Amino acid sequence: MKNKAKFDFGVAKLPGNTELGSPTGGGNFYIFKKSSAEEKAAALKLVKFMTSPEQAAHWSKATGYMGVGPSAYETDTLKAYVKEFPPAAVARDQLVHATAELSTHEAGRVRKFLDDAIQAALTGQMSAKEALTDAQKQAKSTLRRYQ
Amino acid sequence: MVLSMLKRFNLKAWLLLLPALSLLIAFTHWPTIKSFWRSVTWARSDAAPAKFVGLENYQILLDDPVFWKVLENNFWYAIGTVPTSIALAIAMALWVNSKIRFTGLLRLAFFTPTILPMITVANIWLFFYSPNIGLFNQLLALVGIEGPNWLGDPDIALSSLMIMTVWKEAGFFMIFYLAALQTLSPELFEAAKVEGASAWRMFRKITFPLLMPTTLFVLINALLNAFKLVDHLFILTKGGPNNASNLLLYYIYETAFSFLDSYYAATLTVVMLVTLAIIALVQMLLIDRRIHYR
Repeated sequence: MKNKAKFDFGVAKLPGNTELGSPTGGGNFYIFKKSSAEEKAAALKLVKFMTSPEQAAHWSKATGYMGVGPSAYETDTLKAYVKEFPPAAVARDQLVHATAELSTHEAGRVRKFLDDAIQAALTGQMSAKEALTDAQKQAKSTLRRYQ
Repeated sequence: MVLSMLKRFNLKAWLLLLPALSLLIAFTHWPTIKSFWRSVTWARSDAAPAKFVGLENYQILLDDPVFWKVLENNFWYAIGTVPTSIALAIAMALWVNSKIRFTGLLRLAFFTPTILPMITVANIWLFFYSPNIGLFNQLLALVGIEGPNWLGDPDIALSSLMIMTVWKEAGFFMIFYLAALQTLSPELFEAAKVEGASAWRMFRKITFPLLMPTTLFVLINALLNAFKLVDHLFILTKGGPNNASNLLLYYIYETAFSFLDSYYAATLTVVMLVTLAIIALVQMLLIDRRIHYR
């Protein structure tokens, strides 16, 4: 990415008001329950290879994506790269401010309740507290069936 | 024996009906029945088998504040768009039916919104409505008024959608009125003129009553459209802010394809179908009787 960019660019942590934050997300590897033992073993082998420190470092350097494990940053490849090009480590350094992704049944719907609450608070329809209480109530009612 | 049985079944008639009937069953009746069935079942996930839950989905619907909000929005949306677009359609039809120059151009201009795809139109209106750089707010700024946030303010987002809908719909309905106007016999108006009737009186006593069959047709279509038209929501507001501009059909779409809850989506669909059926029935039974058909 750095090689192709024909313009100046910089990388910085997200600014924060009362606390810093970091959005998280990304791709996943899955191994299916119903696969044969052979397929599972092969899949595991691939996952191990793809997430190995050396591969993660290579991937990070080539694409600008964050190294997917602390060990990736311990490899010579990334160590040298970060030294030469410090912005490569910003995403990792920011990660200490991240929280776990919301994980629940009906995730799409629950997230929408939160979005609605944010919109209600930003447009002045409700106070932040009211809006979030409302969202919690709706989420609880939606999740009732999974208890 | 076989021949007489075939005769009894009216085989030929059924064969002739078959193409239309099979389409109707495959794409209208079967999905309707399936929606009804789906609305009384539920499953924890797509992989789990659906089980019968009775009216539980409807119970949830009654407790769902968003459902009531979109229903209320849809009510105001219908009230706001239907009479306005019909009145405008009649006015425009009368105008382009009169003997003035360039009627062809005028007709084209009024009809253009109908030809344009809704998604394209919505993108253009998105620019009109944008705060700061939008057309409306730039025009308002010229006369020193600071324009509102048309789509971002929960108090006016729905009205902004209505304005666009009226613009989109009126031209389409105008075509029906124009066609109807041209079938009216000029003798009626000549007679009225001899009697010394004013233009307004002629409109009230002759034109408007004779247009009533068209009005019923347009009214049904306009009301159905008020429930059917959601393309612009995808571009303009996505139902926001905080569901201020969300409508029933968009909520169904969201439930089915963002939340992936086909059971609740089916429940909402049933409510929508019943609502539309009631509206159509009321219109046909009550208004139809009072219309003068020639």
